[in-house]
Amino acid sequence: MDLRSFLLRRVFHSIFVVVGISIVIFCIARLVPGDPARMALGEEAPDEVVERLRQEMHLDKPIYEQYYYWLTGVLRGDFGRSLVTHQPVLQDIKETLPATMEIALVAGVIMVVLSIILGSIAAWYRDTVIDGIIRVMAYFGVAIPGFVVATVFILVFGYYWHVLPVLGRLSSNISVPPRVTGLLLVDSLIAGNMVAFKDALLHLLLPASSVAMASTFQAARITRSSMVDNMQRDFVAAERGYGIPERRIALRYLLKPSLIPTVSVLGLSLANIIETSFLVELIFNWPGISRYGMQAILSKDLNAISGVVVIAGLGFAVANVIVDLVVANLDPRIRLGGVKGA
Amino acid sequence: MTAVQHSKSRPEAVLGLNMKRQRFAENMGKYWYAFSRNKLSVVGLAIVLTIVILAILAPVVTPYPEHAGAFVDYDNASKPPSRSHIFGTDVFGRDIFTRIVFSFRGALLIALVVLSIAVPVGVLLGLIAGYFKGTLLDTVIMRTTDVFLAVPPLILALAIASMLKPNMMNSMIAVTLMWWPWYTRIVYGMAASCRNEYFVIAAELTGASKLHILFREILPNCLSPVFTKIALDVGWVILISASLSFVGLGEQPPTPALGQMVSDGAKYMPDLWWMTIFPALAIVVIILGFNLAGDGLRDMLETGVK
Repeated sequence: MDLRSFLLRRVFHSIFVVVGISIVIFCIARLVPGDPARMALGEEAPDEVVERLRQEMHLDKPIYEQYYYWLTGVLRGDFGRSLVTHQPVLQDIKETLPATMEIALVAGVIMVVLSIILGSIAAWYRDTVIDGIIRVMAYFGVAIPGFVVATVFILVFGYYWHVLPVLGRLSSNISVPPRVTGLLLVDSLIAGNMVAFKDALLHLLLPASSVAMASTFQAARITRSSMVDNMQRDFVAAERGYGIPERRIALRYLLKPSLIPTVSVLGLSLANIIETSFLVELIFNWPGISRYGMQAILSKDLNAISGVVVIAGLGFAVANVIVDLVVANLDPRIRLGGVKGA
Repeated sequence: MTAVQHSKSRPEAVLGLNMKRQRFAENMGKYWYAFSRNKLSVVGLAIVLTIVILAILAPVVTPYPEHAGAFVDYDNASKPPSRSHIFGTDVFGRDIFTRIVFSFRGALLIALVVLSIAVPVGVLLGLIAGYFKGTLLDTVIMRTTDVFLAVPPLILALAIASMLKPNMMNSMIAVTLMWWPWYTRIVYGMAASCRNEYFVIAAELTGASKLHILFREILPNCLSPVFTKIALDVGWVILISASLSFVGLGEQPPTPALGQMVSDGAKYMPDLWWMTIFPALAIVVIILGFNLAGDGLRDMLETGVK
């Protein structure tokens, strides 16, 4: 199967799935007891105002008609208004999404780099104390929930050592670079503002590491075992026979084939990253979509909840396609058709 | 091994009760061997057993069982760890250790309830979809599964829990709704590949009922990965439910829950660090215990006892 039909099939699948999510979320949102219009306006609002909003929100129609209105709105990018910020949900999402993507990207970099380094070290020094330490760290890393990591980080780095900033995206005394992409790291580079870049990076370190923690260690374990497996292979023995130095074998010939399972695991932990960032953003007071979603969830802001869940599903689907492409690129043996068909 | 071979050469009737008992003991020994080859699994099992016993005996083993609910003692409030309160006390003067032990009950209960509903439902749906592969029933079930698997579970659980009243029951409902699809997917693959095996076709030809084929022929062949997944899932369920209670969507105060205690304590950081650190450690230990024991169980089931 070639790339185009693979992508086409995945896109169709994703569309189907996102529509499905929207139905599930919509049903739950509308079936819970309580009048959304009343909740939006508060207890004191006069009845006729509430009634007008009910009609505006099509709440007086049967549920399938409500869904129709909602879906056609969503397809036009209209998720309705947030009850908390009183802005269109889509605009809120546009404003908050870059901050989250920044965390996700930095977390991704931390994960890839650290898991490869840790995994390679563990494989290189296999069955020694170093390997054992990394293994124990991995067991703990997987067992510690993201919100616990974040809380402990704040306690240790923020309150005791004061070495890293723990709240927000930028220190208050630093001017925000003009918004181009919304990613502060990129924006500050474009503006040539190195002070802001450094500050933004420091702010990112703790939240991103809390998000990356669990998956990093999981991927490091996988990297270790796949490297150890590959070390027994004939091609390594042949290279050894040619007298190529061990270090060079490890770095040049062993690493690439050993990374395939690592990438797959990182792909599988995408869900974990998105989930963890939901709680982590809340703790670090990070103005991203997850914190927005959590606030919506805590204040029962149904329009915003639906918007965030649909966006999360969409992002998850896109990220999965990317992972499949990367795996296929690393491993010529995997034909694209076989990735999901198995 | 020898006992099994003997039994083949001898008629079953001769096999006395003692012999059976001996064979059982021998099998248990093999299971234990497979499980305990990794010492960490044994550590995990020890942690799990300790936590379960503590949770069951909570009113007896904790020093201040009355602190598990609404209790106020301002004279002893906000005390750091000491001999009388090994993990310190919270701002209401309640013993943190007592509250942690009591919240183990909730954590274990959630895992038990969620898995004992989600697993049978998921397995049943997977079995049906796999056996009727290619029919409308298969499409409906598996596409629904796809939808549920397409959103990170915690997010959907958060969304669902938020729309219901925040309490223990509803957080269980939310997590259960997220959990069954994993089992459906596992069993689906196994059942779909089983359904063309000769033993299933033979059963169909002899006129066995659908129920018989589903439950007596196919199901036993799908169970091993299901048990493995259950073993590894307990820790995850506890983690997700702790996350829900961390944001206030689980057990409500004054009843203690691990996530809730962490978020409560976070308000008083860094001065009352013990209010956060000990519940956080408790979460890590309980999840670690179940993960390690689960790994051992997986090794045991995968290597199998012949």
